[in-house]
Amino acid sequence: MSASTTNRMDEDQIEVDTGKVTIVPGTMIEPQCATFCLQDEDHTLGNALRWTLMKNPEVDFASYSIPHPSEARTNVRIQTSDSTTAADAMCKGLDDLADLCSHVIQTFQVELSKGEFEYDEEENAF
Amino acid sequence: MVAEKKNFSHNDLDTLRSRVIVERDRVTSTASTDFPHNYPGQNLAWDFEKFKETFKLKINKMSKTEMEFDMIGIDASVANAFRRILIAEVPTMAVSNVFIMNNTSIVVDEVLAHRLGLVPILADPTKFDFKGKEETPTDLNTIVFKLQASCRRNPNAAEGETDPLKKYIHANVYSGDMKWSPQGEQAERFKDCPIKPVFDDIVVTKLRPGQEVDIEIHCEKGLGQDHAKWSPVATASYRLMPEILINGEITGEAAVRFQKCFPEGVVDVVEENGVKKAVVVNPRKDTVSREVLRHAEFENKVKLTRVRDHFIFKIESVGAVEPQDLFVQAVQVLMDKAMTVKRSLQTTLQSE
Repeated sequence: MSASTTNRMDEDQIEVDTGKVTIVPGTMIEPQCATFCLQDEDHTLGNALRWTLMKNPEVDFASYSIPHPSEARTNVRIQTSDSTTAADAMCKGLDDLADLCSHVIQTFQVELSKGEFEYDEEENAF
Repeated sequence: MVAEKKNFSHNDLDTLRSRVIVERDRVTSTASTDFPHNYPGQNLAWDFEKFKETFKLKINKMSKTEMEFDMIGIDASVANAFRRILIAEVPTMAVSNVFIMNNTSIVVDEVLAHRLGLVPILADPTKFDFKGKEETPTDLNTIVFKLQASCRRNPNAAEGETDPLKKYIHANVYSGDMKWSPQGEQAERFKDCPIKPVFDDIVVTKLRPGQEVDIEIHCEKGLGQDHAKWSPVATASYRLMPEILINGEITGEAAVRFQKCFPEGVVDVVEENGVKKAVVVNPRKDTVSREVLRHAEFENKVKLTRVRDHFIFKIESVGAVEPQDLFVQAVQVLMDKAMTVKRSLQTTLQSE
């Protein structure tokens, strides 16, 4: 965390940690390809993000790797066709993941409210 | 996707695309391949509307501590992300600092502190803030318990009594002996749901006459990533929905033998025109032990597979937070992670 600085975004007043995502130097030779280094992330976000990136037809290559298991760092490599840029593809992948999550929560809450499941009362009443 | 020479092959594209194939000595076709450009004529690009149509979530069982539900139409990487977050990144309250004023029990200080750390605390973590290492404890980030117990001989015990619980008073120190000491506004905020350990009957230490413990306990908010005591679930796991396909028919005594290869309730033997026939009724109960593939007579007559996007999720909560809240929090954590990374990415790009 020593390398990160925080910025404030004016409208939302949310603190943005600029050390979270960096572009590995030398990997962005053109806007269509880049390796993003995500600090303090692991397979949890890495694999899910890789899947949403692969689902994008503009993306030619998408992968994630963890350079060393002792360091909490994930590299995400994206190569796209000429119609978009790696950064845009990354943003789209993250947006799609967030959309997916919000839909899962909604569906779950609808199912909960329907109450069409077996409820076991007596188990572990504390 | 190499076509293999087998007597009974799983060659068809649909099976390879949507099923994990379970063979006698290996499991194949595990990776999901439904990405754009992989299959000609199929548009497998991400389509939120299509996802909303095909995604299904069905809750099967619920209780205060356990929840079993099915998720259909989601990828393994996302289901696994939920599982990992449930185990490691949903915050809870747990004993963090143990101030031992007096401990003459047989259990040494650090072991006693370790045991106290693992006692689950029934407190809503959303009502507390994280406490940094250098911050002072306040009523918003710390819960205080006092554990005081001393043991003495029971004057009313029978002569020759051997059970220590009857012979001595307070021989066992239980988690229920931890008394909450409300700080600041906590008494007001939690008057409807007083804070206590989830279970009263965890044996923390054992005493004999003359021994005592006098401990002050501070609980803080934390994540399972840091230490397993902060994990809100006993465990969270998922399995893929099994599928059993019979090639042709299995009749007569072979049907009975076939039924015995699976757990009870998976296969039924029905009588049709006087002939016994094996019918798969409930593949969900199958534990996929592949017992049936060990028998030469059935090897080519049955196809064991798992449906690749049907997850049977089971969340067993420790008790501090109810399983339905845990799942919603876990999905929220993944969403927040994605948004944090996106904001940070946009800032990094702007400054380039």
